[in-house]
Parts: sequence; structure tokens; C-alpha cells
Amino acid sequence: MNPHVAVIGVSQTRFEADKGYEAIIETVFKVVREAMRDAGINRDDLDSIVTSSVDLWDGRTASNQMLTDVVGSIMKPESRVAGDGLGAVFQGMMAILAGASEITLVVSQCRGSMGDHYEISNWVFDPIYQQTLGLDYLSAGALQANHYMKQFGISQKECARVVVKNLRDAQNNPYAQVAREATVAEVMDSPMWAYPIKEMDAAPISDGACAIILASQEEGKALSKNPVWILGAGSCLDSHYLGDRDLTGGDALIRASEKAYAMAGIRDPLKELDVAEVSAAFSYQELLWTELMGFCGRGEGAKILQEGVTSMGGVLPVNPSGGMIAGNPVTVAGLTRLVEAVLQVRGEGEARQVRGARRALAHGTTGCCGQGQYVMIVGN
Amino acid sequence: MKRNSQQEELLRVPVHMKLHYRFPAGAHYDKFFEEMKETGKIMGVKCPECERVLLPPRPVCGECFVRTGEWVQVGPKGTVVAYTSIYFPFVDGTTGKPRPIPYGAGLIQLDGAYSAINHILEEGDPEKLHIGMRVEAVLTEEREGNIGDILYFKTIEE
Repeated sequence: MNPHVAVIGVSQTRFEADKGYEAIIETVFKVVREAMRDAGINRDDLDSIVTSSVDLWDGRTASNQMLTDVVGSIMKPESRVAGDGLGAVFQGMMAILAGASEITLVVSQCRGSMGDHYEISNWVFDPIYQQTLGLDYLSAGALQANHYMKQFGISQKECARVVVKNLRDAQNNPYAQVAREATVAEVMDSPMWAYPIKEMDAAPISDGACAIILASQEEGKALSKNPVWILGAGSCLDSHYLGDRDLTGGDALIRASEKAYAMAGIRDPLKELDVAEVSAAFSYQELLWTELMGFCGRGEGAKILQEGVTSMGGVLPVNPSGGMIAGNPVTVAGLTRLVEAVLQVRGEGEARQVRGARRALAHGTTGCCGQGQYVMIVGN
Repeated sequence: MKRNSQQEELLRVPVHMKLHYRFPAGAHYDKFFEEMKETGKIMGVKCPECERVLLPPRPVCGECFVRTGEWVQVGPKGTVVAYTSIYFPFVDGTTGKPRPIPYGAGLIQLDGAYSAINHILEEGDPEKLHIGMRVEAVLTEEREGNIGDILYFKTIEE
């Protein structure tokens, strides 16, 4: 294994329900400068920039244009990914692997508070057919939830345990928006939104931003005493139409994770990974994604959670940060998972540190019900 | 149903996109509009490194990649650096009413500012507009703290 791309700087904001006290450019400037400080570089060292955001969440067209000043891209090449921040990392990696860039900034931002999350997510769908019938991220998620839960006999209470675990662990994460001791009964009693998804099963609406600095092998070694390397990476897209997919089968995530494992030389992810940060917007998704990434057999996600395998202190802790249940600035979620994975491998996870973590998985998803899937393995 | 694709159009579905936002203006726009409303002054911010006075005011100088610094009053007089006359109707965002055509629009470099800002010119006749002409901001009597507080820029003789 001879890794080619290093992560030499990371930064994230605290996730909050409403950052209306500062402009988006203010938030992004802070997070970009902090990532540069963490990497020990300045703006002149940057060869290229990749941003991730979505126009409808930003309320304007080609919305990355508002970020030019604060991501340092004046007179530099910048590209933009209209989707998850972990997808943007693939774009940044490509620039480095192509030899076009030695040091690349990847930054993602979203303001959930600016618009109406589910009103906007309705616009993800075909305006002629699907959208008219009210499909949005919530109702589509509920279709997938039932499909999965019926197939494997998973109960709502078992999904509720994901929420309890993540809210509890989020108390160790200073960047979390929601963090507290909760009970299964509380989750079960929270208002029904779209059967079987209840209010507490869903990630909150959040504001936040994240930034990382990628470096080539040479620059990574030169700039960082102990760089974190991208050991494996896989991405895969499923069909757009929900009705064309096997909603529980999750071929896209199986393929993305197998690709990443093969690159990183991982045969048994449960044993060989030390920690995983997974993008799950709803409680059931954490169970489903962990199965599809091979942490356990199909239908066993709830079982390994119940046994403590995926809890702090377990064989493979999933989402020590609290995951998206603790904060969910839509497109930022996947990049946050990578930042958390890097902090774990560096041993800088503070109260949420998984002891001795050497290999960490970061998972991101874009579109509805995991249409697009991204998996990265990082390690020393 | 018979269709002659040569003559009949295929189905087109009218879609009206209506979304609601609350844009976080941030501290710099907040002060800019508050100052305009309360005192009628147009304020820019200065970059401590390149010393350019930027408009609209903003937290960061993108060229120097540093935080901007002190506030500086600019204008209300300035110089037209680019202009046009608009002959298509435009619904004025600050009033919700169509602006009478033709009307002038320009990039105006206010005295003391580096950045030129776009705004409406009182003069709409392209024969009477030229680059380098001097103009002055005309503010409304009752100001609300938005860009509509500047009605337009009028031509001045100096």
C-alpha cells in the first residue's frame, strides 16, 4: 500500500440550528483559515479549491460564487460539487492524482435555517411526476425505512436505539447541535412524521461548515510529521428513480465500500477498522448502511448495535461524534465524517476518541435514500 | 390519441417555483444599512493590507485573504465607470413595481472607494451618458435600511 493523497488539515464549525448571527462567508472564512492553520499552510500554498454546496439550499444560482473571497480562490482554479462534501473530496483527490495540484482545499457549507429543508428536498425530484405527489427526503426515507424493516423484521424500538446511542455519544462532541441522554420511550413518543419515522428518528436541521486540506504524497510528507493518508476510496451511484432501485439491497454502497476496502487491503472491515463515521439522516439508515458496508450480515445491524459492537468501547464504534443525528447541515455531513475520521486517527478525538484508532472509515451520501454513496478509509 | 409530431408540440408542464428564504446578511451589511438608514452615510470597509476601500462592505478582503478593518465614509459623489440604458421592463425588488423604461444603470465608483457599485442612474438617455461622468446619490426621505434607500444617482456638473 503506497497512499498518494494525504489529509494535512481539518476544521469544522459547531453545528447550530441557526447561525443567523453571522454571514455565510464569515462562517466559511473561519473554517477555511482554521484548516489552513491546522495544515501549517497559507493561501499562497493552495493550488486548487473544491467547494460543495447546493444552490437551492443557498437560495441563489451557482452559489459557490459567493465564496470566492473566503475560500482563497481569486486567480486560482476552483471547481464546485453540487452535492455531499465527501464527493467533493473525490474531486480534490483527482486534481492531485492527475498531477494538476499539490495542495487542495475542500470546503462544504450549508445553512439549513435559511429555507425550508423538506420544501427544498421536494425539488430534488422530477417536477413533472414525483414532485407533484409530495415526495421529499422525509417521505422517501419512510418508504425505504419500511422496505428495510419489513424485510428483516426490524422494529421501531430497534431503530430508536440508534438515536439513544448517538445523542448520548454526541455529548462528547463539542461541535454537536443536539446531545443528551434520551430513552427509547422518548423516541417512540416523539411525533410521527412519516410512518415509521418519528421526529427524533430524523436528523435535525442545521447550519455549519467543514474544510480539509489535501496534499500530494510529496507535500504530505514534507508538510506534516504525521500525515493521515487516504488509504482507500470508492464511490457509486444508484438509479435516480426510487422504483428502479432495490431500496434495501443497496448495491451502490456495497460497491463503493468494496472498492475502498480493496484499495486499503481490508478483508474484514469489522476487525480491521477501528472506528466508522456514517452519514445517516434517519435512525434506520445507520443500521442499513452498517450492514451494506459489511460490518455484519444483512438484517443484523440492530443486533450488533444491541450487543454494543458499534457503541463506544465496542469492536467497531459507529459515530462516536453522534453522527447526523447530532447535527445535519445537509451537504456538509460527509465531509464532517471525514474530519471526524481524521481526528480519530490522529488521536485528537478528545472525549470521543476511540482508543488506539489507526484506521477509520468515513461515509457520505448524496441524493435521496442513499442514491450516491462515498466511502473513504483513512489511516497513518 | 393521434399526434402529428411535425405540427403539434409535445406536452409542456408549467411549473412555478416558489421557495422561501431568510438570508443571513451578516454584521457588515447590517452596519452598512443601519448607517445609511440612520445617518444617510454610505460606508465602505478598508483592507488593512492593500488599503482598498471595498463596497459593499464585507468581512474579508479576497485579494489579501485577511479580515477587513476600519469603516470609511465614501461618496455620496462618484464617477460612472460603466453604463447602459435598459429597454426591457424590470420589476424593482425594493418596490415590487415595474421601473419605467428606458432607465439608466451603471457601475459607480464613489469618491474614496476602490470598488464600483451598481445602481440606477437618473439619466436614461444613452446619448447623455458617458464614462467618467460625475453623479451623486439621491437618498429617500424615509429610509428603511435596504438598498432602495438610494433612489438613484443624479448627474451633477462640477
